[in-house]
Amino acid sequence: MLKLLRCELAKLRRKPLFFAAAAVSALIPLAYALFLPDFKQFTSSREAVDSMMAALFQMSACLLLMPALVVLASNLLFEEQDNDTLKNLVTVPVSKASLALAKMLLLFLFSAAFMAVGGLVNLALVSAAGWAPEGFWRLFWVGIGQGIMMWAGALPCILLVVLLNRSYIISVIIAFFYTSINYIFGMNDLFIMQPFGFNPGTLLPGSLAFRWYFQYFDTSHAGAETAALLERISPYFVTVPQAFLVTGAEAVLFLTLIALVYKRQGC
Amino acid sequence: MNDYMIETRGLTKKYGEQLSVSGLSLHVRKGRIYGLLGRNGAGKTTTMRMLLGLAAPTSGDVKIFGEPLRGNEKKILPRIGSLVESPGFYPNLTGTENLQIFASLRGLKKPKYVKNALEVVNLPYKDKKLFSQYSLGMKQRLAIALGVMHNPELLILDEPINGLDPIGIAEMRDFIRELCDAMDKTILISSHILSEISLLADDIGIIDHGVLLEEESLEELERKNGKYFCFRVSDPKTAARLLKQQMGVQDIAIGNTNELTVRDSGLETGAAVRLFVEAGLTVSDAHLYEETLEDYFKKVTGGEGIA
Repeated sequence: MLKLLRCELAKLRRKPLFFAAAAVSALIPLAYALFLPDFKQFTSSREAVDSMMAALFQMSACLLLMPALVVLASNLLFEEQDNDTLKNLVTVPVSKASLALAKMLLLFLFSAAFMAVGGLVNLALVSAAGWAPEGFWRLFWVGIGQGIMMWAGALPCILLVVLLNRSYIISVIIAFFYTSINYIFGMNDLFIMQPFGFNPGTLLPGSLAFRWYFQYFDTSHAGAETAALLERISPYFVTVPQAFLVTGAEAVLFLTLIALVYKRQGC
Repeated sequence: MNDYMIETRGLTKKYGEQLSVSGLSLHVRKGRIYGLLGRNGAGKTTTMRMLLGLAAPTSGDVKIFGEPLRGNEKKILPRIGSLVESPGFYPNLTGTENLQIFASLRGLKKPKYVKNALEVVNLPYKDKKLFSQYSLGMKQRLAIALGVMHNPELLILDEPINGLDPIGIAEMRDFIRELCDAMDKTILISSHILSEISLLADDIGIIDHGVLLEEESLEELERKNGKYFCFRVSDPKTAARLLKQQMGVQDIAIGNTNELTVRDSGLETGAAVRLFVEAGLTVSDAHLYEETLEDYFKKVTGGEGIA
């Protein structure tokens, strides 16, 4: 698998789409710093760090990372058919299931890197504004965790793309709808106020991630709106094992299905 | 135990209702070049795809190196080099980078494998040109390089001269011949270009509409090909009698326009002409005709010729 992953990385050379998607991770933090007045009105280092990281979690991860993953997945999975390289790989022999898994593993690394870069851009911006990186590193790792959740959450959508076989336009449309639904549900009380269990609030990545990362923000000086939200949703917070149990189970299920569907597709 | 590197029995492939390959029984001997000859759409590529496990047969068996391909792919495929259909590589990478990926997957760690493979097809090592900028001929060469990079015992090459210029074709022919003669490789090569197959192959299989119509060595096919003499004389009846009486020739046919056709490979043209002239006949034409592989192909496939 490592050999396949190395080859997948080698195939990324001179691929602007992948690097453009990676560069997007810096977009929201930069936009937040440059255009929003909030950035200049922070009263403490902790508030600066929390606000910047919250923007990364809510905007970058949910609105940019998720669709980027689906579009990149369709590019990675169909490049073999489009370039007619699948026959060369199969005759090595490389199994199509392993190939699909290697590509998903690459996206896993991309998700983690995407959130790490976003976090580091935030750190640079906060430091440049003269604030201390108070509580940053814990949120940095939470961000990487959320990246992994978004990756697992994108897998059902990637499965759909593989099932529909090589239609980039359909992939983009699916990614758009899936992202919108996740974002809306992830912010909706109906979903975030569901107990841990077999329900949309637990299974959808947007609401699950929100119920997990929100508890890591400093709410000791929260405003009235945030305090009310905290009061409502704190009973529904999920622990690290709960969050990653669901993420892991979803990843195993959908990776298996993606590998099976990809395997059935012709060279 | 036989010495067949490839052996198929009743190999059949159906796509929906369409029969692409039907009951194909192919025998490729060790150390030989086997030319699979057929028109476009005859079923050559489908056959090769089944031999490489790229397409599952609807029925029939494939044995490679004496073992069934199905279930032994991990053991068999690394011993095969192949080029099927158009060359497929990553357009954003150079030729060297492309080969490095496949070398890595094959566990060929030393750079010499890639370097040597590029060298034998006359492509530069570590060139900056991307695959997307390659000419069709260069792409074909790179595909051959990929096929031979891991020093396989068996090569399955589907139309390998496609896109090559005449010099490239001659070079490729010499290269394939050398692979077989000097390096003891067994090669299955398909083509719709009859002249290429006749120049290169030791054994020939003629496939048409998915059916293997003939499978022979080139020598045997040449032996089977007809050879006849044609004379145009002033009195063909007298000429026929002379040939029968004086030279013991039996297979003689008298045609229109004073034509005499003699099917006797042992006949000496000079002696026959002398005999006619001495008998006072006028000989206006004397020709030896040999049926070509194309004629044979036409005869076997019952249709038109091939390029």
